Amino acid sequence: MAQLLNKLAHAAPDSKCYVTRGTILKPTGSENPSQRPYTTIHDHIYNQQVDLLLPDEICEVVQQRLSEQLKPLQYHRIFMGPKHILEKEFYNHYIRQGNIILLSDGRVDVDDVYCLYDGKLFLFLRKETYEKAGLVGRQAAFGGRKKERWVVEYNLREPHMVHGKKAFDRLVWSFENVFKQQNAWLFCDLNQEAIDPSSPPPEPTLKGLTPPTVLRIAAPTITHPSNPIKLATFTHKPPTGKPTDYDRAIFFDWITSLHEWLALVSINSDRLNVTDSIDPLLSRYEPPIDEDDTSSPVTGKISKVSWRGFIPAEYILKIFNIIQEVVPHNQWYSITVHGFQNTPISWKGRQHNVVGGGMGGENLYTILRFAGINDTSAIGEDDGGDGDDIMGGMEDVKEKVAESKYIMYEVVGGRDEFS
Amino acid sequence: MEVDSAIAGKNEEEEEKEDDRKEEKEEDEVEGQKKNKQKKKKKEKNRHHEDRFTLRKPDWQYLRLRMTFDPPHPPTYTSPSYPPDLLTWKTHLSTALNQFLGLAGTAIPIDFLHLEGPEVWVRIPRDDATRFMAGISGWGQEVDGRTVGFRVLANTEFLMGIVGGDGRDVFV
Repeated sequence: MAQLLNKLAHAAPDSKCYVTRGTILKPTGSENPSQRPYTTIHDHIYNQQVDLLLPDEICEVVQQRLSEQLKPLQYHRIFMGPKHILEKEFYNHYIRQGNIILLSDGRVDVDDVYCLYDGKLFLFLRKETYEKAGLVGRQAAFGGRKKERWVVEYNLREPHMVHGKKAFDRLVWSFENVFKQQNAWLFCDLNQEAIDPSSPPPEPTLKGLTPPTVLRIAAPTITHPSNPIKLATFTHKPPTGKPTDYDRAIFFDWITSLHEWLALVSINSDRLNVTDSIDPLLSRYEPPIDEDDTSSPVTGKISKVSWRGFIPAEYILKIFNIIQEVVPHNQWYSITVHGFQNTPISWKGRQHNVVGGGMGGENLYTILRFAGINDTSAIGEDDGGDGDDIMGGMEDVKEKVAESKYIMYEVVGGRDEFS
Repeated sequence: MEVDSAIAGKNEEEEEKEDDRKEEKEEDEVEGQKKNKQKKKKKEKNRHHEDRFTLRKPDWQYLRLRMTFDPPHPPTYTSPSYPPDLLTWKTHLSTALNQFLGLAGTAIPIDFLHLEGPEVWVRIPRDDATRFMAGISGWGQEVDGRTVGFRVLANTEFLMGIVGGDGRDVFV
């Protein structure tokens, strides 16, 4: 029986978690380095929740700096059909000249879902609508064996994609005659600087768009802890000598349990409560602690700052840069960014899908930056072990103190092209 | 748990090999100064060396479950037996698993990570997850005039994956 059950089609292939360990480079001027974790943040387009965890004692400083340097994000919810985004004034102002992101509501495995970023429009269609629309597309990456899903891609910034040209009018025709269904869309203007927060828009519409919109503001909510919680150990002692398979297993265990612990902190789990003394019959969970290490505290308070809404990657980069600047080197923080499960695109250019509402739809990442007091020796076991770091000499050691070590976890569902 | 560090490592090695090849080519063509620049570049790249590996098939599977009652309780209703406590959860889950899988079912270890109203976050061994879900979702029993059952709200191999919800409420 059990064997049979294990052979049943597990609704989705296994999820994966990519782990990156390295140092965060400082942005030079206004340019962000084209390296992880910056590239990961930048390429994850549609984000719905950002959770920042940090020790309570620095929360106030961070909070203050965030309110000084970061404008609350404005985005809109619109109930409309796809034809409305091609209305001339809106189209020219926001899509051709400006830079916006759009995402429509729907279940990405059964409905028609549309999205737009960088002037590129993606239509993820059911077979039926695809055939009716008469637009040229290709099979979607997760379309099933029966070619049930199709994707049509248009770069709307190409010179010929303007009103009056044939190819464009064909698109308008399809949108008017085939895609009649209206549903909820999210809209965010990436040029947030131009929006003046002091004067709210006189009408609840966007320039050149006929359907009314609902303006929403994503402001951070801050949760201060009422009680201290059980902390995890952030240091992992590298084994001396050549690492064996066993050492590696211990190391990977530490990596996973750290991730698990961070997740438990974000849901404010009962198990982390210092007064929690649950019977092992009900739970055997223990936070990852190092029994030999008596110097680091076992309990502490952790604050959470979170944003919810339709948050573009550019905004998250801003948050990240501010945090990276304001959090002192001897403190840690972690930032977790959750994507929409039903987004047809997760990381730039990678198709994404989910089965039956909830299976294999993960697309999120966590960046955990360690406190940098003794980070030259304590963190990680230097897996590659190719000895290059030793060759660097004194200069390197100094720089390492100024740099910050991080671990990044990217969790990707089984139905995602990001791999 | 399976860890796949080979892939990332390989790519990096390949990249480096390519760099070497390029360097060799340029060595033939360009004079010493440029060569030095190239070497410096390579050194910088190494200094910001990053490790990358993939975790797959972890030991655990995480579920978010809701206990359902039919007919449902009014929204603000509370009583000593509602919302259910962890022992009630454990008892009901064991009954369900026992009915479907017998002793092997009750032997599945369940770690309750968090309780919130009628919902819990639990951790079970990944290999038992399919069986576990099949066992509990088909179960129902009458308790105090209401049929009690379970719903699996979310299911993931990495707990962080169900912390954020699916994001559809942003559209509402």
